[in-house]
Amino acid sequence: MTSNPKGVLILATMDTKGPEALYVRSRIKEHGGNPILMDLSTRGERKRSGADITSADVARAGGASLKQFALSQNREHNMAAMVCGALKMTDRLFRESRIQGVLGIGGISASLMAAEVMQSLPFGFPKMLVSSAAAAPGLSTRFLQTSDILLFNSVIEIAGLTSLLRNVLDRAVLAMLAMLQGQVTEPSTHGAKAIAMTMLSPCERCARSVRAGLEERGYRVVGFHATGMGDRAMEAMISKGLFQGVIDLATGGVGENLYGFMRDAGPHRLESAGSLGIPQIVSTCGVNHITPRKSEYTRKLERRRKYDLDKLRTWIRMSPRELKDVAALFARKLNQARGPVMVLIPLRGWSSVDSPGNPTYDPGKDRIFTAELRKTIKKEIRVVEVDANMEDPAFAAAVLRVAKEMFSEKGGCGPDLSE
Amino acid sequence: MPKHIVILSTLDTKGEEAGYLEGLIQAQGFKTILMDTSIGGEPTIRPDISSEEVAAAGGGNIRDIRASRNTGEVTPIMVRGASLKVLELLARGELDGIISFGGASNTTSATTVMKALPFGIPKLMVSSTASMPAYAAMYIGTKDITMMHSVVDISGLNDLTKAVLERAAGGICGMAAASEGAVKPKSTSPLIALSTFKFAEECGQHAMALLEKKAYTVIPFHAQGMGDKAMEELIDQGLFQAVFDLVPAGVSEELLGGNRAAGPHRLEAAGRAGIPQVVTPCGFDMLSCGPLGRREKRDPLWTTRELAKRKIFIPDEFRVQARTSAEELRDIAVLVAQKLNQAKGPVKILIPVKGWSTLSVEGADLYDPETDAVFAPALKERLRPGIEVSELPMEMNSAEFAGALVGALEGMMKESTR
Repeated sequence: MTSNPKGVLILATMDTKGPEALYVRSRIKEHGGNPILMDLSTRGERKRSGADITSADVARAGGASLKQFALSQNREHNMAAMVCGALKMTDRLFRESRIQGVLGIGGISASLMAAEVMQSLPFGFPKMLVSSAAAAPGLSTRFLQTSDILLFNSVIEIAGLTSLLRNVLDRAVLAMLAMLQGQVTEPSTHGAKAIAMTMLSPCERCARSVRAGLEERGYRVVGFHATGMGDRAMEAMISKGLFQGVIDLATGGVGENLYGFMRDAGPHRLESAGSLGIPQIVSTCGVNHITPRKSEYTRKLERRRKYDLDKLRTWIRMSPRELKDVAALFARKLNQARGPVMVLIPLRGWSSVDSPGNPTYDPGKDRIFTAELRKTIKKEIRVVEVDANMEDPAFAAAVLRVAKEMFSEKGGCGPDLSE
Repeated sequence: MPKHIVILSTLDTKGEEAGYLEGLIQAQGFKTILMDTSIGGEPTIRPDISSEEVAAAGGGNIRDIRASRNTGEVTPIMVRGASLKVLELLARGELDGIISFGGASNTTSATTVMKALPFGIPKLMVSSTASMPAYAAMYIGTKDITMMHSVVDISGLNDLTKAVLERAAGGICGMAAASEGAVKPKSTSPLIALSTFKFAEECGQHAMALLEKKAYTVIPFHAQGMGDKAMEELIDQGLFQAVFDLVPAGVSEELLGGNRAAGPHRLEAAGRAGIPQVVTPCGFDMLSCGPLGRREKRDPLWTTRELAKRKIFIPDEFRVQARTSAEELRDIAVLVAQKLNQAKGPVKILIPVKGWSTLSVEGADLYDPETDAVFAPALKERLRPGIEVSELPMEMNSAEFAGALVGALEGMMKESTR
């Protein structure tokens, strides 16, 4: 039910980007959309800024006032109050079906605020952020997080309605409106046996076979790139009850969180399926490697065995100590699970990176992880080793056999693999 | 005439998904050109431009590429080939937008291809790795690329992946409908590029107001490294008649290893184009060295330059600015002179002696006039004759200094059109 087809929420700070925001609003109207302009400025508002929802309204919804902002020097605090208000008001607009998409414009601060509002909206709801700070390292991640946002780099500053900026804003407006029309699949997984699966390019072949095998049996498999963000997003979507089972092939985000490296998937990785009680199959692609940023390399790290995945990514072999610590963390997390869990570990390398012949291939050391895991994990959880590399067909076949059993109606804690 | 949208994809593994996207775009009335950039094997659906053609354009042979196990070696061939192919299409008027989707490898390759295309051509990358720390920044670089975070992997067609592809199709079609191709300068109002940042904000605003009153159109760029690097590229694209370089700090940050480094070619494009430029030393008074955690971690930048011992400005944990030293200012002067000496057009340098930014005026955290004083003599010593350096008893962020800058630029613009 849409009471306002093409309702577009515009997020902007009218104190600095007034004319630009008004331009966006008028363009949306010209093209048959119904814009609602929300002002996120914290530094007071110009008289008659023209916003549909004024910054005073937003501040009030956030339990603050513009007067308070003016007295306070704490800009971060003010921004937080503004975001809080914007979240509440956006939620109301969303629930009343008055908006079908959201379009934000701004530099660093406005982009951060607008992104936070966008992140609160569900997957599938069109979100676009036109930002002059899109390419600032460290910020882009904060803008996107686990949300399906379109981040449009304006290249030029959003200041002054020049022909170049109008070109950028026109493209953004038409893109937003085009996203609202035509067929859009409801991104729900109801009525199907939906399975979430993590993967990375070093276990892509395995993931592909498992997907094909499950689809043949009528399952729908939704893949998540276990980059730290994709797998974090998966945890959030599992918690919303979107999935009936999980195949967690690439669980490196757990250890990366412990050490704060690139694929860090947050403190709650590997927990959602367990707390929901849905069946999960866990494997270990990437777990035995760390991926610190190059700037974090110490002399000790330099001496470790490495593999360059591509020009951006280098995988460094974990130390025995680290393997042990991460195994203990796996056990702690999985021991909380209320549903069935099964751990499958390949014996000949845990990914294509550490496949036989490659520099970081070391199945002997890998077993330190397995031994520690077995020592600390609760009895109900089976840890099974498969004599293959992660990318060998035999491993995918083993995953499929387990999946067939665990995801069937009756559930269970896994088939007998001791053939 | 229908507009054309190019779809870049690896059709050996993503045929089904690319085919779905192709259908969606065609349904909106656009012509599609499906280009196969796969290195693995035969495509599962028919491309309009095959991987054989792409490989050949890149100077390779698809059979050797498929046989190779060294992806690091063969991928650049495909990227080069695809870049040449898209430029060919653009020249023929058969490219009004470009879209691709994928994970880490595909995103790196496809955005590299997109970077070959000029500002104004819609570019949409649907990526499952967009949100990795610093990745989006790398993917986007200095270009007007839109990154769509797919959250889920685009592998297999299910309701979630379909929802992503449908919105992506809408996005690129809408952008292509709005686009008039590569942005070209319009002769009615001369375009001036202006670099600025937070610590020069007021000067920038004064200058923009003054210039616009005189019927110039000012295009500001955020001098945080990427923004000013993009400015250099658009100067090379021939968009501007003059450059108002308020914050050339990308040069010093590059030299000293700061966060706002703008690459080795900053401050060169205007000179190469021979257009007038005014330059100030704003930003040479500080070094962007955050986040603060680097101090505790004994980061090499902090230890080798002994930043902990200096005056430091800390507005928050991330945006940390350390005072530059006299020795560093001398090095910066040498480099700036080297670059500006190459300029084919007129150059003027104006120095606001009472503080180069809001951070180095009297009473501010990085105030240090004795150190500042080292810069002008060092610069003058190295500059070739014909480049004038004026030291004015003003603050950077004053209306009078902005006025002086505008006056200097206008003088040069009138000279050069005479």
